[in-house]
Amino acid sequence: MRRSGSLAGAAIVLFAVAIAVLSIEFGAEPRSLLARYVLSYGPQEEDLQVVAPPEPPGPRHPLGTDIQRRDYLSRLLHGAKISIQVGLTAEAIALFIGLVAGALAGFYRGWVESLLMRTADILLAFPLPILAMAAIAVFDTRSISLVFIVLGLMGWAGIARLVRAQCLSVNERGFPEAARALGAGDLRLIARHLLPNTVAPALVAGCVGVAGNILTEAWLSFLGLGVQPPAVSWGRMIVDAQSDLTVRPWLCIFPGVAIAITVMGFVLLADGLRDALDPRTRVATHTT
Amino acid sequence: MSLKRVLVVLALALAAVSCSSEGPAPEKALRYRVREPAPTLDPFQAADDNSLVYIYPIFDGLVEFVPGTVDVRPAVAESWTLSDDHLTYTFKLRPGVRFHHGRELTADDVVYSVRRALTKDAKSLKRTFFNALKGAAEFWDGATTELAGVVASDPRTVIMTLSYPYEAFLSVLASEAGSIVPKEVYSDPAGGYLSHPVGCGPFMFESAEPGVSVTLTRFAGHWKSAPRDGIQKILFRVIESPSTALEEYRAGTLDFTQEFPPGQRTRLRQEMPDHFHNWRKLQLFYLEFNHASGPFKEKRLLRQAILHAVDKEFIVKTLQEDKDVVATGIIPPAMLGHTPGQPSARYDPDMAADLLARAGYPGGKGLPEIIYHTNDSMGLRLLAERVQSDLARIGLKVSIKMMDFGAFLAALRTNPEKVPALSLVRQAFYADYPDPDNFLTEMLAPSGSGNTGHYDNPALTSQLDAARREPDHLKREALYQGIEKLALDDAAIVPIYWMGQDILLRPEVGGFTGSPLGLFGIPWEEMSLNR
Repeated sequence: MRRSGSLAGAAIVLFAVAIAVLSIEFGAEPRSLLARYVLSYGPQEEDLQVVAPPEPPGPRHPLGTDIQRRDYLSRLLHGAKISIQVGLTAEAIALFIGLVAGALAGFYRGWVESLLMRTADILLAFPLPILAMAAIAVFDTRSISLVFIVLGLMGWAGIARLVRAQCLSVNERGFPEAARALGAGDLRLIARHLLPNTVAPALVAGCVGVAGNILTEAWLSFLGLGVQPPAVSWGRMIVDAQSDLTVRPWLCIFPGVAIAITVMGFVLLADGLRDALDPRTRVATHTT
Repeated sequence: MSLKRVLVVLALALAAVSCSSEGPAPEKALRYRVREPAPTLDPFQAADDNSLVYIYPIFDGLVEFVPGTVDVRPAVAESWTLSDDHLTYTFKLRPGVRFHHGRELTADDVVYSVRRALTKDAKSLKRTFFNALKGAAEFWDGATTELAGVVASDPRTVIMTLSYPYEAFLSVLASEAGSIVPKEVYSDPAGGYLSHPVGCGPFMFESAEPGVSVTLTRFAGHWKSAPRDGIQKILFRVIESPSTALEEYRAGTLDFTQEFPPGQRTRLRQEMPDHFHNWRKLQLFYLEFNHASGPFKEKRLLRQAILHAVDKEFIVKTLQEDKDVVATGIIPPAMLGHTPGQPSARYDPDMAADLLARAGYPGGKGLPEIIYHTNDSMGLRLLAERVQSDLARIGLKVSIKMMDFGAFLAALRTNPEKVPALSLVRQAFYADYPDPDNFLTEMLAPSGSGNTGHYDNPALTSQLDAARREPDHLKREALYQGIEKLALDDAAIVPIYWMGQDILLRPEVGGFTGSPLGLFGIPWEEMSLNR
């Protein structure tokens, strides 16, 4: 049961990432592979034959069109790109900083640890979306890369704490001391002995973090602070459809379901990763 | 900026929480939803239609607009004459007109009120309304303490003299700029009139809870007799969210609401046909170019290409759900000088592409990104995206900027060199008084308060000056038609739609007439409430 859940998670994540890759636009007249070979319409393409937009789902447009006469299926699939991009890029930044900061704090202790961990505490005390809003206001830009960076720079604290705790416990186990006795330097100790033993829990946390970032992007877009038109993202699609909820519910339901499934995929995958990487659960699986 | 945004969010949340219903309505009280508290209750300091909604019922002038039209009829003046040279108006005041605090109104109050409208220290914003009045400029500047243009020749006669014939002068007097106020109240240095206004209009100020509500009550001593079942009170309640207001209306705790959540119009219209009213206003929604420098200043063909590239029909029909009317020109229907179906403003993407090529940017090549500035609301965002994709069709790249629209407008007005040269701005203009002089001068003349884009066309400006002084009605109309054509051929702005007004009003309220001026022109004193 557990296993099938994590397999489903992995499948969802793979599928979402594949869609995101296929929806990258390139060329002189930028078009994605999806728009070139699979779909009949690009995400910005208007179907001028639609008389009374938004059109409900039908044979011509499987998910209908939005109020600007654009194919909703095409927009939904192309919307995956932003969510996945934000989720992965921001988490990669957070993971990198978190691993380095956590390892340094766990290895050197003393003032290094105090400095890094108090900084982490401060970051954890800030509500992340508010911080993102503030950054967007301060830089007076709504570029989506700013959102990636802010989410990444702010999201490392949890991972750092996790890695530090792990380092402390690894340090107690003796083999780092043995390595030092054999003449290993600080860098080698950290890179070859401490970090490999902390990557697993950090990866699991990162997977959950990706899901969180996808939700934050949707939330920011919902407030009008995320991607700017003509770019498309799921949060944006929901905000554009919100006042239509009672009249044309499908406009909200499709992107909403897409967010829910993708987030669930990452959470299930994290669950599976934890089970697979944690030696204790691994042993438990073997014995039963 | 971030603080402002956070405050707005907080305010919204508070508004949503605090808008509980008010309990049973007093007999014959009209419960009226307003979006925000009035910035001012002083008729001479008001420069927004939101304040005017409160101000119009409290104050009367010498003349007033006939409900539902832009014509002028007697009010505090029972009659007037105009001299043959079109320069001197002699107003005869109606006997027995009283202010809300009981004193009888005299010709001296009329003189005092006009002087007040022209007093800089009283923070009056009505200076330009009285451009034609003799001696107005000198009095405003403080060069003299005598205002030559307004004289009380006896307690019931006021003589006003103009320095040139100005056909719209009576419209000015019918607007809030012509409000008559009692001298002893309005010369109070403590400014008590700001929180407790006193006029001679059909409703008097009763009470206010700052930021929450204002109550007006019928003035028994008004010169107009009240209709049977007349409205006795108007309860203005501030409800910021359109959705909350709509829910309250549905629940029966409001009698009047305006501004609906986007996408709901068609449904409301079908659901409540007896409640739904729509009428057209003298108001234009348009896109303004930054004419201060760069390609928008230099290339008329580029501006023309944009003018013809925007699909106004789609905006009005689909995005605005037919609330508004496609602007085929600048001067709205029902205003002097309107020409139906000006060809210079029609939607024609092929012609737009051709014009763009002739401007030196075939397929948009060679022109940097255009920045479209707008404030952020659901409807405006959809409209911005529409403009963006319409211009993309002819090859122009547009990025939409929604942040800090107020600050941007201020910068554009004062430091145009500090804002991007290729700026396109969403704008709207309502007639302060129903005359094309007000409409076109404020929007297109260098001195105009609405001309934030610094449009400066000397030929057009001198034609505006000539039209203003033209005493003959038909000649004047022809002049304004010519000016509008000139502005469109020059693609001074991109007219999108003439605004309509939607409201929900309970059928128990009888005798409703929409006003082309806007919500503030509704004659509540002539309407009834059968509850």
